[in-house]
Order: sequence, then structure tokens, then C-alpha cells
Amino acid sequence: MVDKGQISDSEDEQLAHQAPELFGMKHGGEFSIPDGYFDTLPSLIQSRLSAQGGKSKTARSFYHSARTRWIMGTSAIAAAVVVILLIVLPATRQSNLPVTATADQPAAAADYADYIDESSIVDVMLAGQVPDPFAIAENNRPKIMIGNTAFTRDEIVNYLVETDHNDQLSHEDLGQ
Amino acid sequence: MVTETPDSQILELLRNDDSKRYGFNLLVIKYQQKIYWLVRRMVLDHEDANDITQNIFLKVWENLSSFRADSQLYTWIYRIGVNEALSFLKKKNLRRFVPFFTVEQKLSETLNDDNFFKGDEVQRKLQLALLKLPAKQRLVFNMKYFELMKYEEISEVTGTSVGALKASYHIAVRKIEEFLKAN
Repeated sequence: MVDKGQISDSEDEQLAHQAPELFGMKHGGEFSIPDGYFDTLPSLIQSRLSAQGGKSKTARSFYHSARTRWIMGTSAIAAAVVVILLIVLPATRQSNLPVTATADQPAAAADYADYIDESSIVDVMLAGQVPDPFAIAENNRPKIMIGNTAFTRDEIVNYLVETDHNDQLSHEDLGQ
Repeated sequence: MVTETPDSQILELLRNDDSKRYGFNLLVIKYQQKIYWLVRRMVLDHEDANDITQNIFLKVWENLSSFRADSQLYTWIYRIGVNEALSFLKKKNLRRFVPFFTVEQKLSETLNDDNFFKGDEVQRKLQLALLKLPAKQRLVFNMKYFELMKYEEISEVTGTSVGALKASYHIAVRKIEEFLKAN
């Protein structure tokens, strides 16, 4: 035990003034311990140390820290996957939407091409399950009357490309 | 009376693999009583104090490599002891699924067991008063009042400023005095 002299006189005086009941109280020896306890304690500790092989707690600590790291690493990876999915999924869902053109934002031909490539519409059309929308669109396009005959715009263009008569027709004739 | 081995000699023995176990035994012999009483005053029960004291020295052994020579050996061991005692009380409180009684209330029953407590009625009252204090405040009071440690030493062990320790001790003294007068 520590020598009573470590407590300064001023602290004693202060305690005596502040807490006379406590100051006047004797202390020490109020708890009982088994006989010879402190004679046997060092050998008890040494035997526990031997039983643990000197390093078992260290090994357990390593296991514990490794397990903690594994849990933390797995949690971090799981969190990263969730974040990536949250970012990627809405974008993917948007790209799967049919391309729609509005008056303000006409859809670019590339957008249509991408949409057609990504969707299975071409396969379905080739299988003959769905009518070709391009053929329908072509049929519905306004015809240009030359004389008494109605021509599509593509037919006229092809004719002009194949022959040299393009200078004989005005733009108005071509419907542009 | 057993002559205490100087810390410097113990540390020298601990540095060498061949003499490490011997040095550790000297360390246990030197500090066992201080550590045991520090713990016993916190947990009251001998069996608990015995377990915790053994665990403290095993932790000291396992962490010898992390001991830095710039701090004092006894301060380092005390710090491990304080942490073990406080975490024991904390765990014991957490394990009580039906917290109608706190650990401190349960411990006060220990004081009625003559196998463990042999103090007089005034000493019993003092222990009951101590059990009314928060664990850390009780720890500071024990180190100052029973172990006669200086505030600077307690500060090193607990990592609390001297000013805060003084305030904590004086509040504890006032509470205990009020309890003693009222009972």
C-alpha cells in the first residue's frame, strides 16, 4: 500500500473540513480473502499462461481481428454493389424504354437504331409475327403524282440516281 | 517482507526471451496486491476480483510488446486494470435482461455476506455509500482515498485531467458525507 505521506496536509485538512465523518473513518481490512491467496496467485497465473501456450490470446486476437476485417470487408463490398446497382439499374431501365419523339425533341435516327438493336423487335419481325412498321410507314407516305402515276419519294430518287434526268424536275415536284 | 524488484530490472528481464517468464513472475508478485484491491473495491466479490485480476495479468503478458518505455510500468498495468474492472461492471449490467436491480444494488447484498465482508457497521455504510456513485467516480474515489494515489498518477491511469479528477473526487466526498450523515 502507498504511504499516507503521499497525501498532502492541505488535502487532509480539506477533507477533514469538508467531510468530517469520512475523514475520521478507519479503512482497510474490511474485505476478507482466502488464506494464502497472494502466495498462490502468481503460480495460478503462470499455469494459465502455460495452458494458453503463452500466445493463445494473441492467436484469438488475431482470429478476432481477422474475422472483424472479413465482416467489414464483406459489408463494404455489399454496400458498393448496392450503390452500383442503384446507379446502373435506373440508367439501364431508361435505355430499355421505347424511344419516343416529341415536337420539341425529335428522336435521332441513331436512337431508333439503338432501340431496334437492343430490342428483339427485328427477330420478331423476321419470324413474321409482327408486320414490318417500316413497310407500313412507307405505304402510308404521301405519293407524288407525275403525270397520272403516283410515285413514292424513294422511287423518284432511285430513278434520278440511275438516270441523269434529275435536272428536269423541280424541288416542288419532289414534294420538298 | 518481500523486497520489491525495481521496475527497471523487471523490464530488463522481460526484454530477454530466456528470462521473460521469470521477469513476468516478479511483475505479478510486485503488483498483484495493488491490482487485486483496485479491482476488489470495484466488484466487491472475491471470485470476480480473482478472475479479473488473473485476466489483467494475462493481458499484461500478451501486450508486453506494446508497452512503451516512456510510460511507467505501474501506470500501464493500472490502466489495463481499470479498463478490465469497468468493462466487467458494464458487461454485468448489460447481461441483466430485467434491470429491476442494478449491479450496484446486487453488490450491496454482498456486503451482508460475512464470508466476504468483515468490516464494522461504519465501513459497511461507507461501502453502501460508494455503491451509490457512478462507477468511474467510485473508481477515482477509491484510488484517491484508499490507494492514496496522487491526482497526477490517477490522471495518467484514467486519461482524465487533474482538474476534472479533483472535481469528481470532491463531488464523491460530498455525496458520501451526506449519505453517512443521513444514515
